[in-house]
Amino acid sequence: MTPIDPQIIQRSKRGDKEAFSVIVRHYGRMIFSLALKMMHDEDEAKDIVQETLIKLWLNIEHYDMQQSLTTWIYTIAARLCLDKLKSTHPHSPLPDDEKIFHDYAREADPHERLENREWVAITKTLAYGLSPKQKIVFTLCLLEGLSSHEVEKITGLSATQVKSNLYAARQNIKEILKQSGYE
Amino acid sequence: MNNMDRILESIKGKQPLIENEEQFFDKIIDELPEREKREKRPLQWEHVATRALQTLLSTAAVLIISLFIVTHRNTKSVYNGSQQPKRSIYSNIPQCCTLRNIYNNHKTEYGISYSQLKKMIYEKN
Repeated sequence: MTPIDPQIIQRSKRGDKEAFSVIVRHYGRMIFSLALKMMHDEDEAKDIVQETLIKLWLNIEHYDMQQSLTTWIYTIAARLCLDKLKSTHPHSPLPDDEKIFHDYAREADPHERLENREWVAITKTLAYGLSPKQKIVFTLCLLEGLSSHEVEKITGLSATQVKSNLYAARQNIKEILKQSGYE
Repeated sequence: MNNMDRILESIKGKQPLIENEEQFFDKIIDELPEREKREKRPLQWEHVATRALQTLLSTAAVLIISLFIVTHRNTKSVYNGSQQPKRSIYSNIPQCCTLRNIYNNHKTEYGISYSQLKKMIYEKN
């Protein structure tokens, strides 16, 4: 994620809504991406985007310019996702989701653009059976492509915890693929 | 590269799209709450109140501890000054007397036998 102009952040800190709208447009899709992959529901993901941006707006004046804004936003969004996941039952993949996943797994074209319905089906199938912590580490590391160091900062987990959660997530995916006949 | 890595690599870093993205972001910006008026004043007031409460509680604690120390010291001095050792009938016995002298003295005064007197002296020791 390209960093945003520090002037925009400074103006937002002073309460300039117009400057903040630039931040909303710059980071909105990033938050939606994390939320959709975590929650597997478009409406819930949109709610998380809105809640994250409101929290960001209310607290941006306390933001330390030395830190990465991307990491800070990911931290707010990840916490909101974890809170929601803890209060809801885990979504088990439906037959339709499994069909979409199987179709994708057969080809897995890196250039293919996925529909949101496909994102939901694929992430729901891959993350099924993971605990909320394993799920957030899996999503940030393997789906969002963040480094372990960034994931440590966002989740507050130690390097060892991130590694062990990632290992558990990979084992779970291996098992799912094995059961589906792809491994 | 195994199947798992192939699948994960193909979706890594890709972002889903938001339907009607511009409208969605506009709605969020419109619904942002007012920040400055809502936050700053209560924070300052809270800060002053917390400080005042801290000072009040610290002063009260110091006063209570001082009161305890002063009261305790007075009680001790009163106790030391007023307490008298218990006196018994043989307390007035002069140190240099023999048992016979004491017996003769006290036989007439208190009407006790020699063995009773001896027993009392042993009890004293």
